[in-house]
Amino acid sequence: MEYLKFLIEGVVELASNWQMIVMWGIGGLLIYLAIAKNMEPALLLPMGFGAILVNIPFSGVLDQVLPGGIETEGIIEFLFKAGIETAELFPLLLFIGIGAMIDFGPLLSNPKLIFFGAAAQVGIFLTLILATLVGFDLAESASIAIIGAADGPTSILVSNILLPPGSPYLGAIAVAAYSYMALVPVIQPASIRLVTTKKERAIKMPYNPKQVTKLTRILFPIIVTVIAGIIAPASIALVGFLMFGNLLRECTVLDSLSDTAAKVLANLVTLLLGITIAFKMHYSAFLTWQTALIMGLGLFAFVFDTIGGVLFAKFINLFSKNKINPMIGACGISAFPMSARVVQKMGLEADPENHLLMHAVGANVSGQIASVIAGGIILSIVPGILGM
Amino acid sequence: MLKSLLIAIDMENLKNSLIITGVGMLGVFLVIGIIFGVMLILNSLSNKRSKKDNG
Repeated sequence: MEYLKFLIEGVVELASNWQMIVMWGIGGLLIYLAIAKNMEPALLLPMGFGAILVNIPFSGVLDQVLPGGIETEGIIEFLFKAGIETAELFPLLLFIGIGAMIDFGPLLSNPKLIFFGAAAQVGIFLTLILATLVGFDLAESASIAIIGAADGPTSILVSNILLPPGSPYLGAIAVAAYSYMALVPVIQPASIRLVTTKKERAIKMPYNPKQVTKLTRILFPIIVTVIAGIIAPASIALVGFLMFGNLLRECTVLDSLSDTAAKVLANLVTLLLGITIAFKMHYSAFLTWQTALIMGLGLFAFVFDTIGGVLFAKFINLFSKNKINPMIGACGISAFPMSARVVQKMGLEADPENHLLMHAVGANVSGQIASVIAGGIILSIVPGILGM
Repeated sequence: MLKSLLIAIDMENLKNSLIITGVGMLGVFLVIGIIFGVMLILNSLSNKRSKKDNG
């Protein structure tokens, strides 16, 4: 009879830790949103399935001590240690793929759009203050605030560096970052309408692209890396890997590598990142009121990123002869290309002949640069203040 | 009530978060401003070069 005990151990464990079943529900919800609603499926589906995997009693995907003191290593725990905890391998590799996907052409032909990327990072810093006010410590607040970078890999990387080992918040931060990125088509229109009139949304912007030479396209990623590296050395991994991917794309002599980075590498790492981050979705860490608070703060960050960008565009319009459609400011967040598509759609709703896509894309790629710089700057300042 | 709320807030943390906000936004705009300057220089150099090639 003693030997048959293992058959019921799982059920007993489940009965005493019913929260695991709640996590199955959350995992199921993420899978549903990924499949039925097509919300960031490449990430939410692996995260959802991973959430189920790690919340099975005595799950073999986590490190376990078996009867007799035999220690086993779980694959998801191993992937987390190797792929995220040690040197942020997965988020950084993903940046090579993202860099290889991005065309900085629309930004290079209209450089002033880059300032919208900077303005739309304000949500990060306002969230930092709010998180402090609701009782999180400084490292936790900064980690939560970086959800406002609207950039999953940056959020994971920054929070993994700042949060102490064993902190329960990384899972909630990753879920918030990716969920809200998927919800950009819902969050941004509502936020934009709050601070713009229909007349402002109908402002037309002529598109006269300047030719961007190949040399400019090649020099740009190199120079950006050097500048960001000198001013905020902590950002060099983020910016450097992003720009390395972009250099692969723009040099035109490594098309197969660029293609592999943009498609195979990005897909493979995305798959692994999603299921790996689920390690932090164990019920004991995830089912807390702080998770709900983090989700709320993440939403606040996205809303104020959008509003910050729009208000900055309105501010520029006070001094500018050629008016900018304020919605372009909202594209300064890093959620590429969803944000640009949202603004194009809203522009057409305000005036069927108002085509803003290329301006929006320019501001949107600037958001990608600005968000990694913001992440790097937070990594430069916070450890210094905390004496880490 | 406001007094008890203020006592509950960790003023040291709040002060630090305000510093990070100020320095952080300034830093982001500084780096972006420098990149903007570089883009202008690159564009003007490439314009000069294409004018030279054409003429």
